[in-house]
Amino acid sequence: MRTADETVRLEVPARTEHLRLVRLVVAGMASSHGADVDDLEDLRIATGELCAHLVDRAAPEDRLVADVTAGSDDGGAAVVTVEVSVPGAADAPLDELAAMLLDTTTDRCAAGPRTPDGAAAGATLWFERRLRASDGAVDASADA
Amino acid sequence: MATEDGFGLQVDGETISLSGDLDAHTAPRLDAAVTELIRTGADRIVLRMADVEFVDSSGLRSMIRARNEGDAPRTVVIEDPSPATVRLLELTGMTDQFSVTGGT
Repeated sequence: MRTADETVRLEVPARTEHLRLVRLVVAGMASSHGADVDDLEDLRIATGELCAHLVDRAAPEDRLVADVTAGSDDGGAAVVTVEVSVPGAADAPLDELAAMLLDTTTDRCAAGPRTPDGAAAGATLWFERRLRASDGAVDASADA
Repeated sequence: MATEDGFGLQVDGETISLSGDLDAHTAPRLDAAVTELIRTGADRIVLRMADVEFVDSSGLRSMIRARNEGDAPRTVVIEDPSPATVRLLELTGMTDQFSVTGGT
């Protein structure tokens, strides 16, 4: 059964010193929704890559906005979605290493706003990660 | 010694001991330490990473730079890698680029 999504918005100066805070918020949200150690590690890596890519393109006065959403899909599996944007920053493709890490630690990842009414200006990246910890719960309920 | 951002870096001979998060914010400090070791003629660098809690692609690039910077590729030993370090090396297929000893 799908449950209501819960979203936390974090806005910080777009500087590398704040990357750790964004990772902590994502890990905290995911942990409270049942993430296991592997989920948390992958979420921290993916979040770090998104944010570092955007901060690298930000001007000193720019702000980084991160929307962290925890909810569930139609099958009842817990899903964490992270959308990060720097309004005003120029978009640019991810480098090879960052793209590889995002590809291996998330289920879906893309550039641009996740929803049609999302931020229109600036650079935006998002990813979605289904929590492995919840796969077992779904499988167990399916077997029951 | 750890700083207010939780990152620690200590150099003892050819060994650089790291702790905390190695990311885009802290990797430049590893770059600086590596450059200084190479300047003094080190042909082997040991990165002690047991207390590293997080590594991203910026940190990994700094580790690769330790291997490649200067005249020729040098041996970089990853000593006691933490689970986060092992995870990143495995995800990127970079484990073979280093000499890994101990760890989890």
